[in-house]
Amino acid sequence: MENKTHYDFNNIVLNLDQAFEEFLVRLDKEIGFYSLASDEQDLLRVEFHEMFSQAIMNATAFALDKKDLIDAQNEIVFSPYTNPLDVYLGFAANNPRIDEILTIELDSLLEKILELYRKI
Amino acid sequence: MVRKFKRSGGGSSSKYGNANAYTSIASIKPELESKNSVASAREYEKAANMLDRTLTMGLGINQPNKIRHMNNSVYSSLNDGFHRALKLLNKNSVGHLKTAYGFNEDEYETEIEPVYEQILTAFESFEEQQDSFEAEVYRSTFETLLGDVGVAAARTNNLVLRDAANFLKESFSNGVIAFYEKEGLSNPVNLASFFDNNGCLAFIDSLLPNDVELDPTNPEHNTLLLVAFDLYLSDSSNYQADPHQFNVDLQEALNRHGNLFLPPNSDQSVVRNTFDEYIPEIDSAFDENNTLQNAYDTLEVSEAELNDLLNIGSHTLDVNGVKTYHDGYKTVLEKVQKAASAFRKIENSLTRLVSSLNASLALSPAIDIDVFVGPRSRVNFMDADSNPKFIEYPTLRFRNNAELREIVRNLTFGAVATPALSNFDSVDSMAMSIARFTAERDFQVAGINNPSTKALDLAASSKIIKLDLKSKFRAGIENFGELSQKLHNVDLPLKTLTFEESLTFAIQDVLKHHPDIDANILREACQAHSIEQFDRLITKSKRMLNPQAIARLVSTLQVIYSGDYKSLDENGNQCILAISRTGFPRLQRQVNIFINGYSNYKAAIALSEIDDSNKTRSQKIQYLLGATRHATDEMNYTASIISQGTSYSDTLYQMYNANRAYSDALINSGVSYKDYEKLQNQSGYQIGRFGNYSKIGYRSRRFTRGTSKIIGKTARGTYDFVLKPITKTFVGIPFKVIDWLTGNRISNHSVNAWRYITNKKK
Repeated sequence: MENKTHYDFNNIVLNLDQAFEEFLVRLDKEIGFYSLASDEQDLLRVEFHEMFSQAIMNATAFALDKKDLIDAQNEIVFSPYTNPLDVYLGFAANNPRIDEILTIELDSLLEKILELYRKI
Repeated sequence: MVRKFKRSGGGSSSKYGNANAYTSIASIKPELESKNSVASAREYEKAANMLDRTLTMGLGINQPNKIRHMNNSVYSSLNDGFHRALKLLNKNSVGHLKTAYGFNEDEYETEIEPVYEQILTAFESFEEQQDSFEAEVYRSTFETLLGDVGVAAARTNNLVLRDAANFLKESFSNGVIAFYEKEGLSNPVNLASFFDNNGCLAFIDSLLPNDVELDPTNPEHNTLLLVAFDLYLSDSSNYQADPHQFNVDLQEALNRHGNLFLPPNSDQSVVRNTFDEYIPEIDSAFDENNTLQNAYDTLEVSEAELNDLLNIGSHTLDVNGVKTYHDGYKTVLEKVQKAASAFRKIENSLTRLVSSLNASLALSPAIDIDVFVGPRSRVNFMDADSNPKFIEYPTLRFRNNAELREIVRNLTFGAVATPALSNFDSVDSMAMSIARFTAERDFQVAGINNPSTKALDLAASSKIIKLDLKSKFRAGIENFGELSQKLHNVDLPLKTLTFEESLTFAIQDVLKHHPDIDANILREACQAHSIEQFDRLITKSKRMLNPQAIARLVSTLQVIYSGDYKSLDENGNQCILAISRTGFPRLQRQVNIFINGYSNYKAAIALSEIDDSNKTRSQKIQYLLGATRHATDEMNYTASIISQGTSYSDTLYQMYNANRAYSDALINSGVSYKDYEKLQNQSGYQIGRFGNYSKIGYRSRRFTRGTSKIIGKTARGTYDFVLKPITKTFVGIPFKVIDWLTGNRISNHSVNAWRYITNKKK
């Protein structure tokens, strides 16, 4: 699997869906996601989108310092109308290495899916 | 088989932690079970409270979905989704959005309105059932709704419906997470116990490899437990009604899918791994920015492209009688040549690889290179002198890495592994079988009855990764805050906690010492984001909390929320983190107010005592000054305790006692209620606004002990006949002297008290 792709924090913030599509293109390259039937794709797309968001959240949480992490968690718990991912993204902007962290996390997500898939 | 669950790391003493929680559950369980058949609303409430306490004490490991009230975060999340979806689909909103969404008004009535009505009905039912929330009933209702809206969106290809479905799905997902995390069921240790109670843990255990013992603290085993719980959730209303059915389905999952993972040393596994290592090399056969797919396209279309160039005369150039290729023609030829060359290299390397595998593994049947490489093909063209020529290349039976992987995936050698009912190769393999079974159900729910193997495998793999991602997220956050150690310090049992779980622990800690308190009130108070809100949440309730309980709760929360006793304030100075950053200035203010009040209290005490003495005027002044100094010293000591962050709860309790004494002193001094209130507002009795302290002071005594009579009738008399003569003795004392001598702002209120007592208030 290539590791050239570098996920860009700003792109993710501005257009999460587009970043997700790029992720699917990479997945397709490895296992042919787009060759699945369209209804199968739809179902899996939802699964992958959740994982993609969760992985970004993991990366952003990892990128926060302790104070920001606590503040982010408080904000999420006390503002149920707020999307947790947005909160973490907001705080993660403070970390200058966020692009790198995102890339590692999302690459690792893809690699893990492939690793399991190949074992079946 | 009974297994004891191990905890990794320290703190495995049976005195604390899980052992306690489980013992508590065991003691309550019989009573709980006897309350399952509820005869009346009161019984229902009792049973619910009992369960709530059970869950709180045992962290949600016992019948978690039986009777539950929806907590605020779940409700808010679901409510939000409904509102957003309904707002979007409302006729008025849709009217505005029709251009953006690209549909006409006729479509509203046929496509959107029925869905709107369906969501509205579900919403009304949701609202009605709010007080008798049963998670699983609700879950299945909501999933049906989501399915219907999703199908409607897919059938009509209507984007506005799709967006509405997404709103609902998002809110539901957040709500479900909040619910289950509240129950503590995101934690593997609790899951293990949950399964143990449901009688299926032994079943899972017996299928594990012989040398493996189930250990919920082992991440590999966590996955198995999480996947099994995922299966439970997929049809939990049925499983709850009939726990045995879960075992049956679990057995079916393991039986039908068996050992899905290839044994690591099998021929098939070795071949797949070898190809996995080889496949990235394919990319290196091409230039940068070029791929196998691009090369394939080039070779397929270039002949037609060359013919076009030939037909339009862009084939050759004649310069002084010398014929050369036209640039356009030449460029295409170069691309063809590079692609063909890359294809030959791939053919070459594949042939080598296949020969090597056939030889080293003695595969049966041997891998045939023809499954990868087809017959040779050609790209015909004309040379500069218009003679026909061609470039030959091997056709490959795959156009990209994914297709090559599929070919390798379909290679089989020897006997195919059959599903097994026992002796699983690994814990991983069991987890995958269960995940595949659940994935199959997901497809069926979505109306896909015969999903492809590839889709099923991808869904099963994703399911496992998704659960792991969430665990990793929790673990990452918790380790980051070094929470576990801090929680261990306050006798809290588990190693990893979600935010909700940490609140549960705080509540548990309080309940251990104050078992009569309603956990719901505590939990609600814990949702506060500031001390003011905390105060409001508690005081709005008619059910009072006693101050010791609040103090303990605050103390525990402080440990949990901060993860450390000390943190940095906005200015970068080290300070205590009380409840959150926003709570800190509030805390400081409370402390300041308390200091004022406490000093007033001391001053009032001094005033009341001074009369009884036979001291000289000078001695009396000295006495007053000494009392205020003493008060200041005590306050400094208290402040130092607070700044060290050693015992916030003790300090609060101290404050409460001091204020109570202050209140007593003032009441005893006979001030009118009106003036008492004024003093209260101005002075340290403000501290009473924290938590429920305000309920302890003047008002409650007034109504519960009949002090209103004293205040209303006797106080004036006390003032006229007792205090007034006393105060005359001190008319000469300069009011500012206390201020001046203590160097403290604190005595302003003492002065007010003094003025009142000496009848000199403005």
